[in-house]
Amino acid sequence: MNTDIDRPTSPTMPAAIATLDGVTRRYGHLTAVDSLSLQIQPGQTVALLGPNGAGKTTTVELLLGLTNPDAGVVRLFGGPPADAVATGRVGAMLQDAGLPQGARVAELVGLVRSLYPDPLPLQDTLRLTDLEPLAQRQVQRLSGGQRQRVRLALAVAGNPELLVLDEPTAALDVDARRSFWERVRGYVAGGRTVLFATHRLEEADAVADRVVVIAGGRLLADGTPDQVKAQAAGRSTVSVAADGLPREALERLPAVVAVEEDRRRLTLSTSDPDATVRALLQQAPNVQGLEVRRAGMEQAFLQLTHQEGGTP
Amino acid sequence: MTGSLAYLWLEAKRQWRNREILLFRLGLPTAIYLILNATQGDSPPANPGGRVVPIAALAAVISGLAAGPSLGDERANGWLRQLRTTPLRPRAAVAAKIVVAMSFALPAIALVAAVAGLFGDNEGTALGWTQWLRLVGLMWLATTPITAVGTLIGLTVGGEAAQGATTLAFVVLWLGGGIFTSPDNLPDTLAAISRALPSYGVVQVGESVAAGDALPASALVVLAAWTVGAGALAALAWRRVVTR
Repeated sequence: MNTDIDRPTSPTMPAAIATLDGVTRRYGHLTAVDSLSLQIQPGQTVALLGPNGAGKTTTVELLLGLTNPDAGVVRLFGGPPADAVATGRVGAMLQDAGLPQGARVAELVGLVRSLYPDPLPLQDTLRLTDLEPLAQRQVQRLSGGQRQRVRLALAVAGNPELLVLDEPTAALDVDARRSFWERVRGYVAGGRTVLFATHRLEEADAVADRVVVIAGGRLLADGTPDQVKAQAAGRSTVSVAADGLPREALERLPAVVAVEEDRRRLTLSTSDPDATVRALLQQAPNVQGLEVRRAGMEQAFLQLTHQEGGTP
Repeated sequence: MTGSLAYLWLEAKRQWRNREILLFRLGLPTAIYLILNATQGDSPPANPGGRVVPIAALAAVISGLAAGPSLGDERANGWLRQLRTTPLRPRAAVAAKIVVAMSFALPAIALVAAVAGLFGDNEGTALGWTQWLRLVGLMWLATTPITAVGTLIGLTVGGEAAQGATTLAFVVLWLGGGIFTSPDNLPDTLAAISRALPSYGVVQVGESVAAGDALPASALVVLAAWTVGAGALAALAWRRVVTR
């Protein structure tokens, strides 16, 4: 148990909405979440990014109080998650949550509204999620995409300060995904906080202003999408024809992490390919076959997750 | 509180508008009563109230167990977890299932009684108004432990298995619980089990009202024991469901 959860926050940093402090959750032999520490500030749109089985859903469940940690502390709005849920400060869209047969769309939204202290007006909720024409339809007669919108409507209907979405666009096609995120942005515009789990990099990159990468239940990277890309850029590569270049000199070039030789080519792993190339050209102006491969979000993600979580 | 009532109201609307559910819970017992009346004639006079009591008890069992598959389904498909992310008090969800199950049991029992009063022409069904009302009301109250059993099944067995477990409970209560045949017709061991089942308590309550007797203490003990026992186990199971 960590005791410094009540430490004063610095004046520039608003109090965290959600805190995980050294949280571990095991299921039998599987450690789904492993000593994870994380803080979410109000107003942020945070992507929890990781491959399948990374521990995203367990992290979401811990935050919502749907499951308890084996070690560590989870706080939501300064208290136990169950209290924040009970007082209506959180709305959630769980992965593949079913809807009760025979209920109409407007009835379900109305139910959720009646459970929260300060809900969105019914019509606003339906308009935001484009459900107005379907308000009187029973849920079992909806398509997959329509059901997804209903689940979003149920998450936002209570007008919660924190919106938690677990793989919300998994079942949607490209167009539906885009309009889904437009709707979420419409909701968040009022300064509300969103945490969403996803395994899609482009989604984290496009939607979030902060990306938290986890794999194997551990935190691998945390920052703006650009920072996360930069953090993984240690594996950007610069390769050249070997042609008698002194390998030891290359290892001393700025930002170079490692040098490998393969089929008469030298490959330099670097955290700053620009700096490495400039220095390389100064030392060896006649270098042949120069090739730079920059880590994109995709590569960053793969590398981050493979170096830690990839081991079975 | 208003949220809990809103949930109860939606739960009731949702189940009451389902025609298959209505047909099964309200139509089936009444149909069985009419078929038996037509094919087998008058009830054996040995049973006070005649055929109406066991068939009304059957209606009580069908509706009372209904909380089981409904809870099992919603546990399996994630709706109950979705509700747990809202301020709805978790026990309100279970309470709603029980109340809605009871809301079917009352008209189901009353319908059997009404049909028996109108079309049954033997001595057993020649009851006065107040006796009919007492019969329906007390048999309905005696359904409570059966809803506790249904809830326990729904909270311990998930998804399709909940359907199977509920069917099994139904068959046990129907065949072994004093509805299909009186415990008096069973070998000793089976008769003892039969007398300890809650459905037999419901039957005994009905028969004592029809005979104009006081409610038998043995039936009240059995019904109370099942309500407390199944209710406590359901509460334990609920705590396990709430925090995985």
